[in-house]
Amino acid sequence: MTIQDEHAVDTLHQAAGAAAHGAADAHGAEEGVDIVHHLADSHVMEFPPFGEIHLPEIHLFGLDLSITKYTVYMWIAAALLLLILLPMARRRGGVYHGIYNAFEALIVYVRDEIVYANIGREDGRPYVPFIATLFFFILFMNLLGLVPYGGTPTGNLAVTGVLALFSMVVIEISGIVVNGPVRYAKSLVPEGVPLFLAPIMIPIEIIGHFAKPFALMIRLFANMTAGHVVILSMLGLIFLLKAWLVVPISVGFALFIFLLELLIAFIQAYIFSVLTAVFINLSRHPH
Amino acid sequence: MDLLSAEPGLIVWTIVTFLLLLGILWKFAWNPILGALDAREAAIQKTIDDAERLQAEAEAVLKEHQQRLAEARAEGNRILDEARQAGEHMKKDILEKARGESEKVLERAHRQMELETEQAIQTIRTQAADLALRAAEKILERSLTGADHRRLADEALAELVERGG
Repeated sequence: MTIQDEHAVDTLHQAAGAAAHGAADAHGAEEGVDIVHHLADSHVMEFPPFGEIHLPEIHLFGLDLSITKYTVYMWIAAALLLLILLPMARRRGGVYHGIYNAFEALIVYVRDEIVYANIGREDGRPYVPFIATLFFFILFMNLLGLVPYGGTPTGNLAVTGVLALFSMVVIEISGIVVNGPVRYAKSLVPEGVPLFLAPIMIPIEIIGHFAKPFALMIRLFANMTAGHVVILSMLGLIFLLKAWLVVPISVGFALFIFLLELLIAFIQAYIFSVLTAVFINLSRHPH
Repeated sequence: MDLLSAEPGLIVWTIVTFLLLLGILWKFAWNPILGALDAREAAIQKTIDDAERLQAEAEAVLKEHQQRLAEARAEGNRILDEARQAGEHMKKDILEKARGESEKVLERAHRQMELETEQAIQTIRTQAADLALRAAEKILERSLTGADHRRLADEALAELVERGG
């Protein structure tokens, strides 16, 4: 091990230590990139080197309802969706041009390949608005993380948790409405299972009902966070190793991961909505 | 704030944002857009169905026309055949009639010739008898009497008639 290598390893330790401190002393991490600070929610929107915006803090009913960085990006995503879809809806004649054409392709894809393919053409029609909203909202929030100064609200458990909760509500209500409360409750004990197994089966099935949305929440959060962590780590290597040689390699890998994230932004939006559709269908036709 | 934290503020804002977004998009975006897409698909389907129906109709009409054409052609051929047969028939008739006519004419000519031959022979016979008589008169004028004349002439005449009979 050369002296230079030892220096690099030392720096790595320093930076890791600094990163571990988290947002609390972000400015103290002179030697590296504070990854957690970049990914965690915050009351401040930073636009280096231009400055930063301090978001208003709101406290209501004993809850901290402050507008945070991710709240703002979530609203930007929602606003973009409204800006695109509302004018598109006013187009008459059903022939779309330009960007509407691209959205039409996505909408038809969501309708045919996600909803109709899993729930059925007749049964699936009422679910299209919900699942399409889910798909586009998640997609836009995912993509916002790839914009300079942007942030990914879906890289936060609060956001993915709420979306998963809505999925769960829709899944369970569809099951109850379609089958009736009694038959739906009976599906907790699958047919053909001996009655004495019920004490085991019922908790397992109930856990299963919660595990599905829980998995949705974790999957989206982890995928969106992981990509950013990898990109920031790649770029962080430049500041850690302080060697010009690292720059092309780091940037190259970061670019590769960035493109991968672009793909993952679509894939995760697709997976979240398609799994919601699959679970809705399972719930409508238990066993 | 921590990476794994779920702040209540963000939870509440996400619920509010998603519900508002869902409501607005449902009423003002998804319903019109999906309706337009459905209408367009229905229109396309209708156009395709119409096109298929029209094509089927056109094919039926074409088939009917072809059938009619074939029938007309067969009819024409039949008429032509009939005409040809009739012509053939007529030709045969005319030929037969002509042949019969010519035979009749020929026969009449034959008969005429026979008749004339007969007459000629008759004429020749009477003239020959006169000539013979006159010659015999000249020979016998000096040796025979009137009575002998008469008797010899009758005998010669009888003989001639008998021979020419």
